[in-house]
Amino acid sequence: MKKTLLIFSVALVTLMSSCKKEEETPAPTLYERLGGVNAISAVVDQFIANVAANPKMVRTFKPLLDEVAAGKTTRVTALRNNLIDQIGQASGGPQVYKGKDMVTAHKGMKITDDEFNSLVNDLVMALDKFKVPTTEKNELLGVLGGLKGMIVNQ
Amino acid sequence: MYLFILWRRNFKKKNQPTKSILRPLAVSTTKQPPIMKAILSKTLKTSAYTLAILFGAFVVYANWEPAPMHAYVKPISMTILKVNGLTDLGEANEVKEKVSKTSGVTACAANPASQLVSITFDPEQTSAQSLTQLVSNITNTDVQNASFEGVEPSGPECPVPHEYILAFERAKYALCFR
Ligand code: HEM
Repeated sequence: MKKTLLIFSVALVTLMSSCKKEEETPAPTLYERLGGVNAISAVVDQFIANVAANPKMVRTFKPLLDEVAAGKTTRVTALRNNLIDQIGQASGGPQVYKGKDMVTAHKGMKITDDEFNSLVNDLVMALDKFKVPTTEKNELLGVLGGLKGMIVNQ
Repeated sequence: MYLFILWRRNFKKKNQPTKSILRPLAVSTTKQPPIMKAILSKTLKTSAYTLAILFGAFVVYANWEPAPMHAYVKPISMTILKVNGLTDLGEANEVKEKVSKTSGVTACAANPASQLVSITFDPEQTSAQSLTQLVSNITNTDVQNASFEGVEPSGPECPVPHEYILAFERAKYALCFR
């Protein structure tokens, strides 16, 4: 009787612990699938380079471009840091975005639909350069695309 | 006890050095009056305490939460070049590929629509000058720094220069031990 009870309790504990293990391993986040902070910073660098060479971005990014042209890079570094944190947070990473909210950051710029699409295209080109799979790409663009209402026509 | 205190006071008074009127002039002028000395030492002490408290508060503030992930990424520098005549997409792609392969370059974009080449790079490994030379060699043209003069800026500007904000942030992360 004692032996049966022991076998039964060992079996129960094994079963419970195996169930717990299954619960403990959640599906990898988009952040992890993208490759973490280094992969995100590589994408952000390419994105910033694309934006800086895009003639449609000159109107809105003029102060930043002027500073880069004058050899100062603190402003572009601040934007880069904010984008790393924002994309990191939006994709489920440990980052916490501490920059301005999207309405405040783009207030007074009167960004048009065309400009918004052109910037998103710069991001798509950056993601394509690093061969980010379609699922991850669409997931990220979905998250960021949701911000359009806060950015366009402010 | 009381008698002992009285005796100590008397003893101190007796043993205090007597002030001589015949002291040399040079010595008397350099020596500060006791009241000034006291004020000076008090001011110095207060300033030192205030600075120490402020520094302590800043260290606490810096360690309040862990540094954000961007603090662990290598900082970059950037340059934007105007390449007159870069209107061909094939040539722009060639520039992009060759520059991207250069050690220290983290990203490069070449756009024939604007004839601009923008490069982000690690300033410890390469420099804006050597990258300008490289682009000039690839395109066989005289490459210049881009200028965005004549374009009307849009949107409000932050009155605090970005250098100050970044310097504050860097000091904060330097003192963050978490
Ligand atoms: C999904 C789309 C976008 C995202 C996620 C985004 C994100 C950001 C972030 C995080 C900042 C920094 C905020 C801060 O300083 O605290 C910023 C600033 C800025 N954004 Fe956007 N943005 C988007 C679209 C656009 C578009 C379409 C334009 C213009 C065509 C634009 C123009 C700017 C400009 C000019 C700044 C200020 C840069 C500076 O001078 O420092 N953004 N954006």
